[in-house]
Amino acid sequence: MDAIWVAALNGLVVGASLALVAAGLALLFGVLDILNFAQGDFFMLGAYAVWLILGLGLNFWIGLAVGVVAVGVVGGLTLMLLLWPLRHRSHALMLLATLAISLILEQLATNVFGADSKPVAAPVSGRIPIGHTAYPVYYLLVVAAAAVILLGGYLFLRYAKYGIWLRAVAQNHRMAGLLGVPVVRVYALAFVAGSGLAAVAGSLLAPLTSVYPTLGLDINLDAFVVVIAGGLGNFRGAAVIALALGIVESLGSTWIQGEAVRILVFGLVIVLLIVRAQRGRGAVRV
Amino acid sequence: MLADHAPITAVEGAELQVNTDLAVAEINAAGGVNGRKLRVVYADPKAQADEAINLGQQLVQQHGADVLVGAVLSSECLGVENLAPRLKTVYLSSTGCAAEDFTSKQCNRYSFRISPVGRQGVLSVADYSVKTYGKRWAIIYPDYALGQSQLNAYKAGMQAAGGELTQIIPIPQNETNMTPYITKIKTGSVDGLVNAEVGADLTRASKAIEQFDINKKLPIVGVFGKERFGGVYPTSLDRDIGVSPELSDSDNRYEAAYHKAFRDQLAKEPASIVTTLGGTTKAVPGDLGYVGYSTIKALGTAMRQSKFTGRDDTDKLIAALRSLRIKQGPDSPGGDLIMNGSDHQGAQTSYIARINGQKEKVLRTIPAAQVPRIGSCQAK
Amino acid sequence: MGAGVAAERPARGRSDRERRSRNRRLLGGAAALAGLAALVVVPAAYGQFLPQRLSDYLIFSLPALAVGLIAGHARLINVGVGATFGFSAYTVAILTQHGVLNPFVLMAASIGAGIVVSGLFAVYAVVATGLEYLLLTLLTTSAFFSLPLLFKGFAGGENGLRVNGAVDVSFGLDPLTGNGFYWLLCGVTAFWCALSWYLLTSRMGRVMVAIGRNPERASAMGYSVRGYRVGVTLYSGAIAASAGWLYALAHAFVFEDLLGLPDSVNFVLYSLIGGVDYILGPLMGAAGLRYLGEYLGQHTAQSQFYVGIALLVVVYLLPAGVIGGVRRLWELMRRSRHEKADQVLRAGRRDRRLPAGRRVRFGRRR
Repeated sequence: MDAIWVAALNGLVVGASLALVAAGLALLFGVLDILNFAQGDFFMLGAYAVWLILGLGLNFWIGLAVGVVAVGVVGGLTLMLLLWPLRHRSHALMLLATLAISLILEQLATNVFGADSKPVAAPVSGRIPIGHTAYPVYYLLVVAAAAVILLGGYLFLRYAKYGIWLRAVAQNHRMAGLLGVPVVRVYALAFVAGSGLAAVAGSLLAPLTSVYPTLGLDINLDAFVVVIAGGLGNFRGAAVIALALGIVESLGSTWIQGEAVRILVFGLVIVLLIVRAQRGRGAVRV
Repeated sequence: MLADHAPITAVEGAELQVNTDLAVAEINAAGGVNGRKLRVVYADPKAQADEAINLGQQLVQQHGADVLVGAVLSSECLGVENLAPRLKTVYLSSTGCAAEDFTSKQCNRYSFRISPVGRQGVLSVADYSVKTYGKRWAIIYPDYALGQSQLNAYKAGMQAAGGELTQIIPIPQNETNMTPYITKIKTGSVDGLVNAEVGADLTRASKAIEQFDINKKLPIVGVFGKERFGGVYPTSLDRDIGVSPELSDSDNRYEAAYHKAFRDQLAKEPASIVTTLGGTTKAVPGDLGYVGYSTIKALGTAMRQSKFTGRDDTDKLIAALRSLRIKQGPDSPGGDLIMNGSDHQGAQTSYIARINGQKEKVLRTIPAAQVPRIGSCQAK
Repeated sequence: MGAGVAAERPARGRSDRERRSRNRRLLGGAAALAGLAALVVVPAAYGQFLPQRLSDYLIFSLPALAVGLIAGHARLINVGVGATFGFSAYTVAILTQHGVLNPFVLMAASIGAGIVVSGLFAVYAVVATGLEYLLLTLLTTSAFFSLPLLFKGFAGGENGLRVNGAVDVSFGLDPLTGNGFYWLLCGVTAFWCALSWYLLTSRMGRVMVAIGRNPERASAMGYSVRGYRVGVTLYSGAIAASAGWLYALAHAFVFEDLLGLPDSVNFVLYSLIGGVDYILGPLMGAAGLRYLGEYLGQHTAQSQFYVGIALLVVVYLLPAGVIGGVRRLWELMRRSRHEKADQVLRAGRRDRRLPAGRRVRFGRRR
């Protein structure tokens, strides 16, 4: 019984991590129709920010703040500068551009930081006994932090002026512009928020994942799966699916081999997509 | 030389390049091979097996390479191994290439591996671990070919020593969150833990093990080597036990000279390689680097013995490699080297050691002649 | 009465347009034949690894062509062509491991297996479009990548699988020496290019383009959108599967990366960079990008960085791909030549019509 509780808790940790990364991806897609292959690399840069700051002898939380500002603001605006000229072009070109950015960021990270994997100490030590397992408090903190950030994000989108504007632009940017919404500013906010969410996820999860240049690659596919399954552009859906996925993977791996769980998850998402595509179509299907 | 510089193989590729350059410089400084200088042509397969096969073919057929060396990932080196007899060119695997299949199942006349791999080290360390700590062991391992072969090796080793793997926990490759797997380890029911992870997975697993205090409750056996961590062991690996043909803080004079030469050579390499290895003050060759160095030195020795002057002398080179024996010395600073003529798998003096802070304390030395054979492949 | 310059240009009739179109087609056909002849003869005569290098480019250009046909004409981005390619290659390896060495049987089995896999993508083409289709193919390819790991005993796992049989499986042609295997590749590539050109220029191809541009309108006109999408997916699957078969013969070794996302994404890159709207585009993209990768791999440890830069250059400066960019440049040059010629013509006519000192007034009559 303890094993199941621990597995469920692990699932929450995994799901919370995924939810943070996927939320930024979902936001970018919802507002800008961009599937950002470089999202994982912003996650990686956020993790490096924490590692760098800790290396300077400063506090973990300062590292997290630096990560959000540096990666979120600078990275987000840089991404916007690079992708803005392509906004009327095909999806394929956008994907190609984000893929190119991902390749460049990975190589730059290798050149600057080295290719070895760097461990990051958790800011909070201490363990809580759960059955026979001494569960690290920091893992529970990650779940709590993710919940707060996602709830904050949800409330922002629902009630704050810029949040409402984000949703308006996502629905119909032309109409939103005609009604006085500063569309370009909102786009910039989407880029910054999307990158910032990835960076904060990277910073928070650095003590769990360690830091290395291809960290983003490993996290990208899972984040894509979550965003696809949650409904492209659906912030809340992504969070819910991330949690569900985390729990399924964690509990599933208790009884089934890891690769089989992965294929099972992919299969479920494929079926979900097909069903959703079928349901979303009218009588005239093309 | 197929030296991977993709981010996932950057450490191996960097060690391979530095140590190859060092070995070649030393061989050429001593007069070369039969009056001719060795020249290395590098190609980067970028951790892709089809690139490795393609580049291997190109190096031989277009650039006239006499011998192929390198390729880090198992799929790369197995692919190039398959290519070698088709090109009738000698191929030596070097840093990386951890698949036992290379010599235990898929051997051929042209392919050789100098350094011990898989069970050759694991059987000895398993024996030490069971006799020292107890019979029941848990294992976490990456759920792909390398991890599977490590699992089989530890199973065989534990059994041979009278022990048993009672908890077997596979972890998907590149799994970013190890928590669901680490929490399956029941510390009260085993005498020790085998951590068979590698690369970034090793760092993550070790970190998670530390966070759950498992390293304080159980002795841990696994891969070690400072070069994987920019020359500095993380605290999560403290007291880990592993096996290696080379120690980063050995007081043996040959190794001391080798380490100094390594750092001097590193200072001449491109900045990206220096950064990858942790900088000129912290970088160490470790077993990854030592394998690259000893492979080229062994090749140089075999070339001299066979009076190799070019590809027309390939058969003579093969004969020399098959009977290769090198005593500990400048050409093999870590210890002796013995090549097995039937499966073309080398054996080197190996050391079972424990990580103490930044030091590596030797627990047992296994002479090259006692390193076990891992297969019955006949390289014809 | 207002003065004006009466246009004296003779009326260009339909026959003139038809003649120009026929000339263009003849010229294009002659150029294609000349190109094929050069491709067959020159590398073989030159030797020095060139046929082997081009063999590699040709093998990888076929899946790129498959992607280009779906993406350029059906407007569906398929990131799953790698699964078809890899599955077909694995079929060859597994069959040879079980003693099947007949080259014709291997060819048929591997292409058949690849078509079965592309049947799955055909289902996706029916139920989804755009980004949803792309994501379905992405997930499927990721799942296929795990198959060799799941069935290690059968498929070799992460270590890969050897193709047995030496040259027996490749019709006695050694891929590493001589020109025979290279000519086989040229033949297969020429076959697929010619067949694709024929299909695309036929009514079927025009319908496919129409469906790609506006599926609702095409459906309203009575065309079966599903049928055409399934057809083009299976056809491109056959092309990718033949590439997988040839790959297994050429390298005598298969591994899980062939099934995975990186190779699939590479095929998409080749076709986008070359130009998805043209048959030769993916071929050029494959050759160009693979050559770039080889060159960088031998000269720098930063190849990933430079490939990223090259991709950005293509995205910003050559959005229609290399061939699209060249064609656009050609059109611009031709237009500018015609404009200059027209200006000269007009200026010449003005000079003829008006004696010196006479002025021309335009506009309303006073």
